[in-house]
Amino acid sequence: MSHNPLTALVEENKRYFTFFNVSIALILITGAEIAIIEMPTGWVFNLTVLGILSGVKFFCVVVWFMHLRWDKSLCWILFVIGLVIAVGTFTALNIILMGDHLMPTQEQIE
Amino acid sequence: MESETTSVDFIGTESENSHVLAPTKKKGWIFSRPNANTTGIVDWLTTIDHKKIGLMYGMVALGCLILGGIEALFIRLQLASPMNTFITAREYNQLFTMHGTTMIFLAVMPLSAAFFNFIMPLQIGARDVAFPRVNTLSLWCFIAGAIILNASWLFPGGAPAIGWFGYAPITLKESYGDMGMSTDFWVMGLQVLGLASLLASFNFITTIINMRCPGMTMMRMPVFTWMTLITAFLLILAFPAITIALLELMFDRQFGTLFFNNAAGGKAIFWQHLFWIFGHPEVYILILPAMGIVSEVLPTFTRKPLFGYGLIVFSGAVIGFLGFAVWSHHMFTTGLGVVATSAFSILTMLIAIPTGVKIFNWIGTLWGGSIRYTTPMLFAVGFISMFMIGGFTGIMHSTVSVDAQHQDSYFVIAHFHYVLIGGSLFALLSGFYYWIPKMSGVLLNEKFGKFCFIIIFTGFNLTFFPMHYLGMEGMPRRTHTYHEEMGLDDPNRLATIGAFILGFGILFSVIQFFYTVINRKKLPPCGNDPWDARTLEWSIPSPVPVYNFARTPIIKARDQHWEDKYGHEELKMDYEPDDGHGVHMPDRSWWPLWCGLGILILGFGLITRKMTFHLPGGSTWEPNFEIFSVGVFITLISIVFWAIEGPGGYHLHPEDDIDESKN
Amino acid sequence: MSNSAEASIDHGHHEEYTSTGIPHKKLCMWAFLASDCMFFGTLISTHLVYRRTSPESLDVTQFFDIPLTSFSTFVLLASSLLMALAVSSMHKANLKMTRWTLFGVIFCGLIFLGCQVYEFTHFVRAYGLTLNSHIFGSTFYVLTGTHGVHVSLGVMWLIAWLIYSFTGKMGPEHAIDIEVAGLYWHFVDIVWVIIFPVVYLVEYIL
Repeated sequence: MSHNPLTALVEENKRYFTFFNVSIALILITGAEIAIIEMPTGWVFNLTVLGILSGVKFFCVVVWFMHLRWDKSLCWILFVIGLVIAVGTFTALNIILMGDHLMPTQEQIE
Repeated sequence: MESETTSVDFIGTESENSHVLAPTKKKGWIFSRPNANTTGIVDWLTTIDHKKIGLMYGMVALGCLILGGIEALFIRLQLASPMNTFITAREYNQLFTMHGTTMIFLAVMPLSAAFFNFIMPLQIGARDVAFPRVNTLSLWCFIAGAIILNASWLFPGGAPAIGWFGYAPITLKESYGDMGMSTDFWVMGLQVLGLASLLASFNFITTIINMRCPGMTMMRMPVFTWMTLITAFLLILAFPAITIALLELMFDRQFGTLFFNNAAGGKAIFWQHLFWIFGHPEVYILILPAMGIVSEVLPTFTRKPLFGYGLIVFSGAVIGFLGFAVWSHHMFTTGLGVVATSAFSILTMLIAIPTGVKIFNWIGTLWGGSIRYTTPMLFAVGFISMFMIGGFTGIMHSTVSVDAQHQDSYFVIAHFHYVLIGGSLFALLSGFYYWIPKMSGVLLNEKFGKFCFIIIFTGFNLTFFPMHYLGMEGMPRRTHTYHEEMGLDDPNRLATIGAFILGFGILFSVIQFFYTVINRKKLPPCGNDPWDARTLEWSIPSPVPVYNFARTPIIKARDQHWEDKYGHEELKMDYEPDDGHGVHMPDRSWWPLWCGLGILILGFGLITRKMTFHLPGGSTWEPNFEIFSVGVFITLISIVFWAIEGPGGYHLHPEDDIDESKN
Repeated sequence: MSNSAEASIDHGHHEEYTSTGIPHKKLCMWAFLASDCMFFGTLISTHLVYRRTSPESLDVTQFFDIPLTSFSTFVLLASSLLMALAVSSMHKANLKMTRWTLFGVIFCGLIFLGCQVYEFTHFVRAYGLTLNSHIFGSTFYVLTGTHGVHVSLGVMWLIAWLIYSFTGKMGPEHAIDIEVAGLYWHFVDIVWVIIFPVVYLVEYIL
């Protein structure tokens, strides 16, 4: 990826503004997250929206701040491998241990 | 995206000439940085050369193999006759704990690491690994971990007696007051060993992906290098789980947290989950390098390319990935529920498929080949047959109802020793017999090697085959004795006799390795390529020169060295032109050693925190965090000076020894 | 191990040869972050499992201070922006801007840590929530504490680079080092992006 120094500088300057835009978006999304917990729209809806908002923030930071948008796909692959295995394993683990709060009450045992 | 600005263009620089790397001649803080002509003990202590590091890994690991073997022989002596009183029950528990932990973490894993370090860079035409000083730190962390683990024998409570998997709640302080600090040694030892493995794996991943010589595409790499890569990925993704589990256990023991405390809302079963999320990929970490070694040895001694190279590589990757999905098959009898149990059962059966694919491909490699039964080949073929037996019993375990009978019986011990000794150890021994000539420049004695193989093969089967029967008869694991009426006497006695035969066989092999290498100057040199082999490491002199390749090779085909010897003219290897620059060599460094020492001290500091030391003069001292702080200080200072010192480097201008490699 | 070699001291600056075009340090850092995903995954998972299954319910909304935690979240986001700008400045070979933005990141990081420390001491003093008073204390302090340790290590790493930038030896070849430190810092930020809703906010919904 050989650029002459001038195009590199122009690229960097464009990204400067992108970073600011991303920051504003992140601040707004965080504000929305804090607001959603007070909304009277039921826990399923609130939880889903919270999840989506967090996911969007995660994606924004990874793609723009961490430069993945402009990097080679190998960096993507390395990170995604870790993410997939982590999310997969721990989702499975949480599902396995899901029923455990259904502890029998004293009356049920007797 | 590299900027092409120079230092002059760098806005805000105070001084010019900031890029000239001064020759490393200044006297340092503690010791001056050893230069290119260092020899002797300082050379070994400060080396960053992957070959020396590999040798040190190998030597220490072979010592730990013997240590673990002695621990096993104690176990077998105790079990040779019913109601034996050779050792107490607690000593028995300590021995099987230390035997398992030593063999897995201090013997098999470092033996694999020895080969990763020495052979892998040579197979991809690299000068060294990506981060040479970090490589040295991995070695010293491994040695620190080995010291911490075995130091437990000398402290109150003795060695840990919790099994190599340390299930909660037996590991919690409240449960068994007289355990002393033994579990703390286990926790700390494993954490430090984990650090060693992680550092090494990051290094290997970067090296294999990024330092292949020109023309060495991923699909032209030798299978051993592929298995190194996959194993490294398994390590970096599996170790965090046990690191956190050990951290939580340490907090439970040291600071009274409630992670595994059932009464207070924690879950002891959570330890099992976290441990096996690490533990299952761990067993693939133990076997994949072995499979890689066998995939190198078989083609050489059948004079055929590896059958189904692509499938073998792909199967290895699939095994690695699926290895994360099957952990609860170690927990079938813990009451997971029907859905979870069935899911894990099916996934475990699935993982047998890529394993089977590999076995068929190895058989395909043998088929129609012009086979030479040298010692490495005997061990490799032994691997295939013994690993198959272990694999069959493994598949039996995957059926939940059958596993309910096998769980915690000797049948499981038979299974994993078939895959670990018959599998991993056989392949590692094959690797030694195959690659010691490359490392030392002399061949190992064939007759004696074959003799060792026969002893090891016989002893191994005599020890572990009867255990299938013992398991089916109901003999439980981890129990220090048994009654006469149980009918278990004869197989146990046979197993003990077999164990001693196996022990002697391994001892003879290890002695042969050391003896041959020590006396290499008196033996005839074997030349670059004594086996008429296929891969790149055989194209350079034996022993390998310190700079590896005089000129960087340019690869045009898989099994490039074979193509060079017997292939088409247009596929012959090229070399990068000599630009007069010479070979860039990294400088040695003291700082990884100091850093390792700091880690050792901080480990001991945490373990002995609440211990009362009796000082001469009558006073007592409870260190609390003092020793720990000293260790942290040394570690931090080492890292700072490490960073300041920089990679350094010098150039070597070797004579052009390319012509010597044409056999 | 003899070789007829003449060792000469290395004076030059080597362009690092890589098979992929990605510098070694960057590749290694991405592999490390993949590993760190498993690390924090385990901790977050521990917290979630115990939160659902602990026998005595604990109403944590009584002691969470959402305004404070939101403030520290915004501070960390700001530090992320400054970090991206620091990397950008290095690529533009602007040492002065690099120094200021690095200082900004360190400053924000220290404020974040200060808020965490205040929060922890407040929980202990006002509500008696310690590591061993309730399972929530164990999981909460270990999870956010580990995150805090990661932040602290990042701060120390950046302070080292800030100091180095004043030695006059910092050049364009160090852009990769700042980039790699940046990757680590951003990762620590995205872990917090997950911790904030999953540990704090979700308690108000369920």
